[in-house]
Amino acid sequence: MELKEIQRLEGHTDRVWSLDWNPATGHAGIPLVFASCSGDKTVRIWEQNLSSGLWACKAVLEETHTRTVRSCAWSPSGKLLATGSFDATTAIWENVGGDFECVSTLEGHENEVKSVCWNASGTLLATCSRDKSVWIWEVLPGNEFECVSVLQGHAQDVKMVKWHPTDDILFSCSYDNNIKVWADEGDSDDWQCVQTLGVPNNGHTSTVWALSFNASGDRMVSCSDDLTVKVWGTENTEIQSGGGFAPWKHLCTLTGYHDRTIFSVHWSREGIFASGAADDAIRLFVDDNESQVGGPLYKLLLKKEKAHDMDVNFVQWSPGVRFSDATLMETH
Amino acid sequence: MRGVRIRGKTVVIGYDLMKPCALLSLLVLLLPLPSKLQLLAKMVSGLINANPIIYEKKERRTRTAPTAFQDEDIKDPEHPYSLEELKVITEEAVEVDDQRNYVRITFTPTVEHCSMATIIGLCLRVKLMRSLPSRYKVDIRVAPGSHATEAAVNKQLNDKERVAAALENPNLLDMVDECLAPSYY
Repeated sequence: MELKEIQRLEGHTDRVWSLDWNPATGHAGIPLVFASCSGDKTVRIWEQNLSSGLWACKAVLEETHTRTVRSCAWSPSGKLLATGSFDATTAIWENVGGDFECVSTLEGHENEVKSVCWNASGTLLATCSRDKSVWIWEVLPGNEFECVSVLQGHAQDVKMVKWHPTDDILFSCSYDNNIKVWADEGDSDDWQCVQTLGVPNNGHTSTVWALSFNASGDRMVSCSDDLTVKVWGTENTEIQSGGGFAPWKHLCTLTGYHDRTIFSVHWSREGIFASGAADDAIRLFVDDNESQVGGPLYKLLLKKEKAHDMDVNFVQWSPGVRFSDATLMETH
Repeated sequence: MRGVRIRGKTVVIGYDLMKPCALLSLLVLLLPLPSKLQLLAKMVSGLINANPIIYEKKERRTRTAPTAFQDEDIKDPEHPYSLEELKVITEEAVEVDDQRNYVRITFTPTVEHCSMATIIGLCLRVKLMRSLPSRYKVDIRVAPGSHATEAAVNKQLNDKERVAAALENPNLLDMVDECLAPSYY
């Protein structure tokens, strides 16, 4: 197996922080599309040419955010794009006949918004910030967004929010070294922290930068400034949705693979997870069928040194296609 | 008035001095930069370290590493001396591994509770960002035992997201630029 660079996409004039594949593209003859966001305060929309396979920039979303755009996320329908910025706002963009219009701006965070994420049904949007809070917004008709909950609980800035792939359970990870799990237990917008994964549960010992779920949603991988990747598991989610919250347990820690801060992890549908780190490398990990009892359950499948000239800030597998493009990075 | 926000944190120098004299601090913001810094420093009921020991600048030996590693021109945020003259940074405290494209700087704040430690660290980082090829990985830390909140300062200084956000703050960037200005007299 080999990881090969297909194309280098140029356009951003400052570091690229994040990207997101449009989930409604890449099948039924619709060309693959993804969005990327950058320290240059813009978002770029990239589309693959169906015949040549090459990528081109289709749109530049600018003059809305006044500072770094840190995070971007497509709604499950692929119709809306949310972008979170250091300017403390989250913008919602709609694709109107090929043009992207900013249809809503969500204000409320005191300072830098670091991550945005839609739930599986596209009815809720979560945002998090250096102000230590996580906000949950309900999507109302007419591109209206109403804040239904402000979750306090982290002691430091919240680096990332991520919804469970099937259930309305929200995960957040922070500079305070913890992962927190949030659920609406009473069906009345009464969101509570139902679990904290920290040092007492074999958690991370420094900033947790990112997390990702496997396709079935019963495993989660997290990565940290402590140079480890950790895999967490839970009982199957059907029981969970029937009768309360099934807690997450530490399954294994992958130590010694990374040399500098790990910024990003992402699990593919085929069960391979990728990591992107400040040592410029991309690594792929896979289930280790021959692992000893008590040993790590995953093994390194591949390490691509110098995947980028600088830190690898973000990795994400494309939807649907096997072994397609992961990655993103810093570019200039 | 919220003081000087450094890497996401309102640093004591900003906070302490802004609170008792909100009016004065307003004035400070309107002043040109060099005077602003001087006044800022004076407003901390005396300086945090009013009588620092001044060391002689070391005669520099020629080194193989690029000249960018020379930090002698970084001014201390609260004194008209360079960081080298105050022994905040010494030549020995800059470790360079050219083969691995790695630089580690260990600096020593003048007093244990020096609230300027994050600013000094940020100045060092910006200086290196501006003068080193981008392939270099840089770690910056305070010398072990030299600062009361050592771990917290080190964590902030090495979180690239916080550094990026801090450098988008115009007031803070001004302060860093002032510290990095080639001549400060």
